[in-house]
Amino acid sequence: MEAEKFINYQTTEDFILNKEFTSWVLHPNKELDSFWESFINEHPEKEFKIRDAVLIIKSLQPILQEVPQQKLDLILKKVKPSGKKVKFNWNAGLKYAATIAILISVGSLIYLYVHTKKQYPIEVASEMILKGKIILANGTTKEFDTKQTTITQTTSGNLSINSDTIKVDSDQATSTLIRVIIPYGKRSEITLADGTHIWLNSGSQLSYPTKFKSDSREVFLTGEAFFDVKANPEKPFYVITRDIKIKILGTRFNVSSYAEDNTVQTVLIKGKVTAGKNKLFAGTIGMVPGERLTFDKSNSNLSKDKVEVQLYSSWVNGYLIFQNMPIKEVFTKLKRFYNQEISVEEGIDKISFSGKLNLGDNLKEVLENVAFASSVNVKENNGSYLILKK
Amino acid sequence: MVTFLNEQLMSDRDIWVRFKAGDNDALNLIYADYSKKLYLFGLKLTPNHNIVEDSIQDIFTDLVRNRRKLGDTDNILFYLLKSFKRRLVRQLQKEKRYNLKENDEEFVFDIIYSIEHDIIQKEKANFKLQSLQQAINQLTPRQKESIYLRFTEELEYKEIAVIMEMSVEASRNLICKAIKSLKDALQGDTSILLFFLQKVV
Repeated sequence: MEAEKFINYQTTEDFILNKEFTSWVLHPNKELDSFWESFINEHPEKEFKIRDAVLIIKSLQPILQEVPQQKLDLILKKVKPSGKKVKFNWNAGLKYAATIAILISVGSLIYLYVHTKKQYPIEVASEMILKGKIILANGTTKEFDTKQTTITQTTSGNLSINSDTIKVDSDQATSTLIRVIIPYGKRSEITLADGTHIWLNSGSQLSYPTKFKSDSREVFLTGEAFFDVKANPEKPFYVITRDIKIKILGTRFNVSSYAEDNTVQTVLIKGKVTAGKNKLFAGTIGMVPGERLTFDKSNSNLSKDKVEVQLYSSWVNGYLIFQNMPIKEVFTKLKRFYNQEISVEEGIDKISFSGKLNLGDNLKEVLENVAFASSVNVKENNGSYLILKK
Repeated sequence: MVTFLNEQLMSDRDIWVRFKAGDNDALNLIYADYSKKLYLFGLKLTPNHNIVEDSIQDIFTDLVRNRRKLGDTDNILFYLLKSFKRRLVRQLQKEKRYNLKENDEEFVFDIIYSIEHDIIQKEKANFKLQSLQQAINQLTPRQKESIYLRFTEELEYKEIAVIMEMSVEASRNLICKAIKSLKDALQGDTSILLFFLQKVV
C-alpha cells in the first residue's frame, strides 16, 4: 500500500470511503497496523480524521445475530445432488471443505450420562462464603481474598495459591478430594497436575482428587466453569455435577450448573479430532463444537441446540456478550460476578439487551453502559443498585 | 476473496469454476461460507424466517441443478446476494398479495447498529458518540442497506448498484451522503476535539 494517495486526503470521509482503509479497519494485521502508525506519525494533522474514520467504520458493524445452523444444515442436505454420501457441515466458520472423511460421530464427543449415583460431595452454600477457600482432605483450610486467584496443583503434590505453596500428602494409597470454593464476586483459574486448565466463575465450587484414578480423571462441579482439558485418550476426563456427568476426550467447553438455576448447560467450544473408538450408542448424546446441551431439572429432559459460543465462554476473557438476552438475566449474571445487589423494577422483563460488557470495569460503569443502550435508569444506594424503567 | 479448499489457497473464481464442474467440496464450502450471510441479510428485509430459509433453499437448488450452465464470477458473495435478494423480494411480494394488511410499505432494509461498549469506554466524549448513534439510527433504509453492503460485506460500488437496482453513480452518492451525515454528527461544527483512542485497532 502506498502512502502517496492518502497524503492528499483532506477529510474523514476520504478515508472512510477508501476500500483499502476499510479493509484495514475490518481486518487488521501487523503490516497494515505499522503502515498506518507511521503514516499518522508523519502526518499528525490527519490523525484525528483517521481516528474518527476508524470509529465510524467500527460503529457500523452490526451486532452478532443468531443463525439457525441446524436448519441451514438441513437445507444443504436437501439441496445436494442425490446419490452422494451426505457430508456433515461442521460450522459456518470452518474454511476447510468437508473432505475430512469422517463419520458424524467422530470429533470431540461428549458422552452424557444422566447421573443416578449419589456419589457427590456435599456442597457448601456459596452465598454464605465471603472468602475463597481451599479445603484439604485432612481438614486444613486455606483462605484467599484475591479477586482473581491462580491455583496450581503439581504431580509432586505441591499446591500453590497465587504465590504461596502448600504441600499436600501425595504418598497416600488412597486419593482424597481437594475442594476449591469461590464466592460471588471472585474468580479463579486452576491448573491440575495433568495440565488441564479450569476457570471457575463466581459462586462456584470444584472438587478434585489428590491423585487421579488409573483409568479416569474425575472432578466435581457446582456453579460455572470453563474447561480446557488436556487430551489423554487412556484416561478420559469426567466432569460430574449434581445432575449430569460429562465425559470428555480433550476439549474446551463451558459448563453452567448453579444450584438455583433451572437448567444445566454445557457448551462445546473446540474439540480435537480423534479417530477410532468414537461411536454413538444408546444412553448417550454426542456433541460437536458450537452445540449446547441443556438439561432441564424440572423434567429431566435433555435438549441440544446450536449457539454462538462466544456468548457462553467470553466471561473467561473478561467479557460478557449478550444477544437479545432478557435484561433480567443480564443483571443476574452481573450480580453473581460482582457480588453486589441489583434489584429490578417490575415490568422491566420485556426489555432485551444485546452487546458486550467489559468485566474489568466497575459495576457502576457496566450498568451505565447497559442503561445507555436500553431504556432503563440506574440508581445507586450504598453499593446496591436499582434498575428502573425510563 | 481467497479461502482454503482441500488445503489449497483458492480464489472465488477458482472455487466457482470447480463448483460448476461438479465438485461438491466446493459446494459445501460455498454453502458453509455464505448461507449464513444470506440468512442474516434476508432477516433485514423480513422477520419471516420461513420465507428466508425457503429462498436460500431455492437459490441453492437452482444453482446445483443448473451448475454447468452458470456464468463466471470473481465474487461469489455478490453473485449469491444478487439472486437471493431478487428471489426473496419476489416471494415477499407474492405473500403480500394474499395478505390484506393496511400497511403497504415496501420491503425496507432494517438493521440495528449499537456502538460497541468498549468503544464507549475508550471515548471520553460520550455526548459526541450519542450524537453519532442518533445519526446512525436516522439513516434511511436505503442508506443502511448500502452501508451494510459496503462496510460489512465489503462489496464494490458496481456490485452494490446491481443488488440495489440503481446506477453506480447513484450508489456512490448514496453512501457518500450517508457517511458525511455521520461525520458531521461526530465532529459537529464546533472547534476541533481530539479523541484519544488507546490503540487505533
